Amino acid sequence: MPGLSNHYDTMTAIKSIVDALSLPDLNASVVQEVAEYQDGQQSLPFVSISPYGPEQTGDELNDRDGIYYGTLVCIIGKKNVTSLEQRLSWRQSIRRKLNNTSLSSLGMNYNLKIEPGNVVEPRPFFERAAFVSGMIVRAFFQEPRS
Amino acid sequence: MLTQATAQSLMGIVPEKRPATIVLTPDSNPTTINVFSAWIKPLTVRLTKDGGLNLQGDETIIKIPDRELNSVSHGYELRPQDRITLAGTTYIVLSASLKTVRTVWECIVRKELT
Repeated sequence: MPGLSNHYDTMTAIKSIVDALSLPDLNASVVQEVAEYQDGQQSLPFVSISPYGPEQTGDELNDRDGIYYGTLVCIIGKKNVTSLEQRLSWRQSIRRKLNNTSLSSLGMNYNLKIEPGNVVEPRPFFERAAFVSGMIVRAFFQEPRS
Repeated sequence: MLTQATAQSLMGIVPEKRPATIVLTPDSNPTTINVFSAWIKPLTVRLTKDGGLNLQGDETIIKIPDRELNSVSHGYELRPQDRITLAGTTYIVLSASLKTVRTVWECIVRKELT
């Protein structure tokens, strides 16, 4: 239910933004409680959206607290099915769309900031022929003290 | 003392040996070799964490008799990133050692992402 959790609403808003990009050959994104992939669990490639790490506190006002919610946005796919150029274009499009923007549907959100992770995670690449490419989205909120 | 002849005859009592297709990539031209007596240890299914993502692991061991890999003395060697397809599943070699008086390749592998 929207309005209960700013963190959850952030993840569903990110999912809407990523899906609206309609990136070629990429399946719909999935909100997960913990980012995971087990064989056959989802149609590949897809984007996993999940909570990441603890919240971080930010600037405080007289009646509001600044909070950053972390969300992991991670592309998961097989490395040989689509070209590297195609996979990097997915990442570029997602990063450009999410960085330094605010979620208009969430009144307390002021900005999203991207913290890039590895463009290509080496271990899954070598050990499972997998493409795993993640970034953390920090969503800044000013929340009333209650 | 264990000799190569003794080690090779002992392979005869290993149960559930299966055919396997091995793709070696010593250079830009992959070499495909079919063997008939590979065997696999039971899978260890676990998750590994990479960049915040928990990914299914499936690390296991596949053994390949050297006399089948090198039925003609090509001097083939298994190396990381080579592929072994066994019972319809493709595995990626993480490391390989020629063991038991140089008669059998012991390969630590992980299943290709599906």
